Amino acid sequence: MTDEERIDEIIRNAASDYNRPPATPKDEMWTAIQSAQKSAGPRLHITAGGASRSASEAHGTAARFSQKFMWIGMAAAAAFLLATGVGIGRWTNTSGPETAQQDTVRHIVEAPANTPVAPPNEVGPSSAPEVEPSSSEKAPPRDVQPASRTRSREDIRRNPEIVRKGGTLPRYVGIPQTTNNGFATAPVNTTYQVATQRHLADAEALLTSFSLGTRDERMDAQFAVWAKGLLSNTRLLLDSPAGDDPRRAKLLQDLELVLAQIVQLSPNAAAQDRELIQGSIQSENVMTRLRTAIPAGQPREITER
Amino acid sequence: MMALKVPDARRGWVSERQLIARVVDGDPAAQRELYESHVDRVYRLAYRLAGEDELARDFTQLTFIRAFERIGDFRFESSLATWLHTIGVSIALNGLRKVKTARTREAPIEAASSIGTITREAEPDLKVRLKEAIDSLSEKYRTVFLMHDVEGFTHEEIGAALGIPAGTSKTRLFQGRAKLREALADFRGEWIS
Repeated sequence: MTDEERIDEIIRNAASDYNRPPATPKDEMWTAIQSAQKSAGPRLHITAGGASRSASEAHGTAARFSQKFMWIGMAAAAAFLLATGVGIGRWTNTSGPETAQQDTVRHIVEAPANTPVAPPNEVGPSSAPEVEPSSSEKAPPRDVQPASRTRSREDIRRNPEIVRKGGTLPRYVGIPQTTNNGFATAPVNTTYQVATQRHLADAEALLTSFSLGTRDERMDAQFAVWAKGLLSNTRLLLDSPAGDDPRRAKLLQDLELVLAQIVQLSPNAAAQDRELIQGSIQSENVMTRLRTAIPAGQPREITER
Repeated sequence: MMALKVPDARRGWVSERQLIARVVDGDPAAQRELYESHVDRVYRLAYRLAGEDELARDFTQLTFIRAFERIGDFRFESSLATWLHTIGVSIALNGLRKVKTARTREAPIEAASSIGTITREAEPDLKVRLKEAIDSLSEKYRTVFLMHDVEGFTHEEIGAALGIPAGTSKTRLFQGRAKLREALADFRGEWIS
């Protein structure tokens, strides 16, 4: 046994006394769980920025909140879903009169879910002949590059053979598959998928602006208003099927915390408060995870058409 | 209450599936049985992470409330215990962040002693120093260290609960231990001799 191993063992033994838990208060906790379950309204969260509270108290607050702001939330959710639906509708109806493009879309849907996406420099019309089925099939998943929506659609329209040969599969199609950012998309409704990605793109824009923006009261107020809307949507998404994927849910929960902090940032907030928020963003790698979760150029292009 | 069998035994899996099916059907006795089978480990981990009984109770309760709400979504891709710990760790870490933020707003941050700069002025007890050192670890190292070295979770279980690969869990444990050794370097002479 080396010295380090011996020291590790001593530390491990001593650490068994660190926060040594007492006997589990099973019955008391079970009573609290039952009372919380009997109360109306299933939404349960530890409130952002506040100290922890008992489950029943937190539940009561959540219920009161949802009663008070239920109509606002429902209206916001309806507007959000309507906008998303219109975006999807407009996007799906954009296929032109060319039969080649219709053919392409059919082939996109028929393509296998794990078909690798060709790197950007291989997708262009000039390089299309270089895309060989064998080389595409041999490409390992880690080499898969996110395909730009505009580039892929245009290139596929010009050269449907790329798709027939398994050369590219844009993820924006919305068919069940697993994205290369690690988020499982199969069980999630396309609407939620698009809505989540658009939401994450908006959140990224806010956090980037917050990190780079100048510090004055007016800006802080604008950030708070912006973050408030995003916070509502984050919570809606957490309770929707979009929150079923553990990784996405974790990202949304971390995002919820950061947004709640920004919402609560007072106009006269000290630099320390902003640093705390920046610390939350950095410690959880929120920006990196957001950018990983957003396919290249996807959400905005879909909804802005 | 009857405890569940070990999950890796075929019989255990069957009984776990049956139990979950009963919980999904809304059987209160099944809920209680599931709770009794797992509450100790969930509470222990919550307490290790939080260090306070009240917080540990809150986290544990929320874990089971959320688990009962979402048990219908459980896909048997992992053991029920792993699924519960995924929920529990997520709730505990998020809750601790919120509590920490609230507390730092209430009181000014005191000059924090960082790992590696602790001087051995008052010859404090090892446990006190170790507690300081563990508290000073960043969340990712502290969580993995407590789960593995203190509570005995495997790297696979930790990876599933934290949403990271098992290899990352090993790396974090290695780095966390190194930071602790560094923080307690002035005990090294006594330990080796």
